[in-house]
Amino acid sequence: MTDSIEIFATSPQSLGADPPTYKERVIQTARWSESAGCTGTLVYTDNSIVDPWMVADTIIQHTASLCPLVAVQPIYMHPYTAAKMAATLAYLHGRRIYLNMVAGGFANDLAALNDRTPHDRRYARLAEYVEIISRLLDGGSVSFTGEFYGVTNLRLCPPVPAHLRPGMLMSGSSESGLATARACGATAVVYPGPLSKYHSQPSSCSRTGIRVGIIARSEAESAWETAHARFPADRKGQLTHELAMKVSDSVWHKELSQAARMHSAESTYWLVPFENSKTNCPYLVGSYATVASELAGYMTAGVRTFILDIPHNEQEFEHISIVFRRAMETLTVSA
Amino acid sequence: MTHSTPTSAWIIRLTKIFSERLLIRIESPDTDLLDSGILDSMKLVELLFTIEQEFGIRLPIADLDIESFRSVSRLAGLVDRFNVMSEVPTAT
Repeated sequence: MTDSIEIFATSPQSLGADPPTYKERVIQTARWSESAGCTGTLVYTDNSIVDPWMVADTIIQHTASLCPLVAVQPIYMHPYTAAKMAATLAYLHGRRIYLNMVAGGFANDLAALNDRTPHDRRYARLAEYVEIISRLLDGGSVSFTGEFYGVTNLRLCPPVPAHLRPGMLMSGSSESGLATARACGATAVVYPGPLSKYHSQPSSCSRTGIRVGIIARSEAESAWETAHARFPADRKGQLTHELAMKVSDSVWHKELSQAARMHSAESTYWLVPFENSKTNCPYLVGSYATVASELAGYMTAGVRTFILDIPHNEQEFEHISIVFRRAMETLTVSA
Repeated sequence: MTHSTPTSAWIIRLTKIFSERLLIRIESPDTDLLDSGILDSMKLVELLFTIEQEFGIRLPIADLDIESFRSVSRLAGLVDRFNVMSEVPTAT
């Protein structure tokens, strides 16, 4: 799409999908994303959906260069297994992948797996997890004794060539999440608050990525028409969201909900899809000029990685490409 | 003004909702619906949505304690609290 920033799409998830056509939808969406110039595509993980590594393999097999951004939650596998999966994909396909390290998840998912680890302790565990993966990827023999994991003289075979070493992202909006991302050298991925928050806290955005949906058209009216048609009010979705709010310990979830109360129904920063449980990320909605200006603002604040929502169709990428191009032009002119 | 609490009638209607709409048989109005796993998150949403439809009420989830959903008895209390404008239900 544009140089110097990384843009990821998001792969469709299997919950509620039509099983016979799900795989084809994953492939189709990956191809759209690749054609649009995306670096990669995020593949979710949670208890209710198919395994992200297998989806990643499918994506790689049906695209030429798109890099899966695989969500990795420590509770699902030992760090050695995660490193082995990354190494295996590199070996089989010669394709780089990215890892999106996740400390939390749905409260019910964690409870079902008997994981009662408190929020900040989950980040301490994730730091150990990432350290083991990183050292295995560095090559050589790894010994590590931590609070959560221990390995002795462990080696990763096959080794991963330097150019295929996975990129490391880490989800987390809390202080402990951001601190862990910094300590691990990972790009911190947050669900962004409104732009004004970034203007007031520019230092927090070094090596930051954001997850955001975009609906932009040449005229704002057309963008809003599309937005409302795509995300109509849904009481079941609202109930799901409100119940999740009651049990979630995620900082981002509470921050976005707070932001939702402070924003009007049609400000460019739009949270109706979030409030109706259609997606977790905020949307930027409006004319090309308005949305490009918002994106440029986030870029000025230090955001270099953007993870878009699941694309609705191929044409949506054309509009998104326009706003990113304009945002980059704005930055070039102001520089 | 006093308002009668027809909890037992609400319990009968709620039990019927469980059996007919959610296809869940509830042994007792005091059965723990949450810890027993009878209501997972999706079924809880379905239940609350159905309650809102059936009783014509809007539940302010953000202001409610999760304990309000723990049993049919407690749900009946919830319905009673937000259904003050409705007529006393008929236990059928």
